[in-house]
Amino acid sequence: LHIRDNSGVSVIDISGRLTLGDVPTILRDEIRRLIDEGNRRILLNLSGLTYMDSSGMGLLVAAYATMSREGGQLKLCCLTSRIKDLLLITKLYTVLEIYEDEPAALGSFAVAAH
Amino acid sequence: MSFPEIDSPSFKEAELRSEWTRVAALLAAFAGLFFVVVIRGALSLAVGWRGEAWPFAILLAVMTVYELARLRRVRQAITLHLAASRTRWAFNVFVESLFPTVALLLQIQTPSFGPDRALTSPVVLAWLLFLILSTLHLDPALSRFAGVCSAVEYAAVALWIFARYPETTSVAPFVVYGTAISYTAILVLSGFAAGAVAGQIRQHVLAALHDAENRAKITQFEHDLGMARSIQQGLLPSVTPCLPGFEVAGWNQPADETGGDYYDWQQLADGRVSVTVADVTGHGIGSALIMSACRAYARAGLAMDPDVHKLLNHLNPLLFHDLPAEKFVTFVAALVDPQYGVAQMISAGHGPLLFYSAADDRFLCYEAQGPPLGLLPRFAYTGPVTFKFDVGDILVLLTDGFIEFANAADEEFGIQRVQDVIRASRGKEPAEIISGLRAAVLQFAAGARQLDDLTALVVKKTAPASI
Repeated sequence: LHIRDNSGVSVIDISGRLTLGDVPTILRDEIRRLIDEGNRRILLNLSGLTYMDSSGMGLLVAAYATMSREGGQLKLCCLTSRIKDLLLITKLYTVLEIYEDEPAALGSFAVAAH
Repeated sequence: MSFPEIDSPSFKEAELRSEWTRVAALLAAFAGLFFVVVIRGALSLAVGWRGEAWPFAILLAVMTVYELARLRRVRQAITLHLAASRTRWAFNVFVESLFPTVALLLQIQTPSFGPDRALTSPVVLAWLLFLILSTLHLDPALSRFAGVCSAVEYAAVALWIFARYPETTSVAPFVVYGTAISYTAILVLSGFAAGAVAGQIRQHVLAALHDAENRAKITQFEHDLGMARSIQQGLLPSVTPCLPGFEVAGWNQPADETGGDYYDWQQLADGRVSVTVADVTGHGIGSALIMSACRAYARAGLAMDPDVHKLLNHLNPLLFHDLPAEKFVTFVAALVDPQYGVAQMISAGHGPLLFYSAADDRFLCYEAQGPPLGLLPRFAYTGPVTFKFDVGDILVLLTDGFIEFANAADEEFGIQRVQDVIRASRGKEPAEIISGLRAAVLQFAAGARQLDDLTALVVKKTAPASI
């Protein structure tokens, strides 16, 4: 889990497996912290995420819903085919804001800001 | 006291039982001593000394009566679950330490011993007997207290003898004083040694009780889980629905005692039958609770209004409010109309939804109409998909436990293998198709552990429409 700032957007790089356990807890706390600090633009870069179970999926959607409630935006980008399939089957692909790559995602934040 | 008071009722009982053993052991020792005293009395009569042993016999009798009374009190305390009183036990330790003191005083009066030999007579060893058995109090402080009492009383008697009978110290004062001091020291040290032993025994007893309590808790927990499992399995439908021209079968195997998956079917008033498969995030007892709530909503909802589209849009906010954040339910329901052989199916994030068309020998994979239930309360699901069953067509609703069942090489069973099995068993009954799937996935896993719940529901059209 790595957090960086890219043109005003907090980008969280998630890699490995997002399953029931420590990683979701850390990720949840980090997202909570970013929101509490007034951050309203978060991008989750999932290029290194190889596997995600239903608790990981629940975490992503809950984070997305929290962010929307707070008036902010949480987007995803760079999905591996496996994660993409998972989100397609569960129809979350159409609900969440997902972009092919990071520049496209960052661009969408910028457009929204204008 | 160096050890904290242990409040657990089981330790209090263990303490009382140990005390009972201690008193019983003392009584046995008294019986042995009594025997020795009587033999010595008889022998002393034979050599012409009269009555030397009898005061000791009387003292032993008094001690026996005292200990019998104590044994009775301890027994009562065990029966009535009374707590042991520290002060009373300490007082008892003091009273018991007085017995050897009285014996020592009697020894002084015994002509064959006299004051000079009394201080090294076997009577002194009686204190050690009490000290050894004091370990069964399971209280280091009481053992140390017993040691101090014994030593103080011994020293007091010694000082009294030195004062009362100055001749005892006139010949070899150094030896006499030294012996008395050594005996006193040995008694104190024995008390402390007994205290250390008592502390060890106490620790072991506590550990054993802790283990026993844990085992009891585990047994209770297993019983509760078993109960939850049988209740949950009881929620699965047992009687096949009346669906002319169709056959229906379902199967569920949780990864743990209880699971978050379920399948269901329900006979509706209009002659249609609803079939449902749902998967709650995770598995285990928490998911089982959510599963039963979801099932209850779905059954009640469909009984009131057999409209799967409305059902989803109602279920979603209801579950959102019931479920903890991040928990959700993937849910699929199909209404099968036997009269026209038509089904309406809607899915909330549930997949795969496989439909095998016998005429084309190919699979149709239906998509979900929206995300899983309980995540986004205001989401509006689109309407259900409608499809027609021809004879030989098979609808297979599975949970991802099948697809994602991984073998030792971390390779997943996958949708292709599922399709292969269905195709291979397309001529069979739904129950056989399911057992084929089950056998195939187990063979594929080759002993790898089942990590997720497995659920399958198969609907097959076996005869032309009834009109």
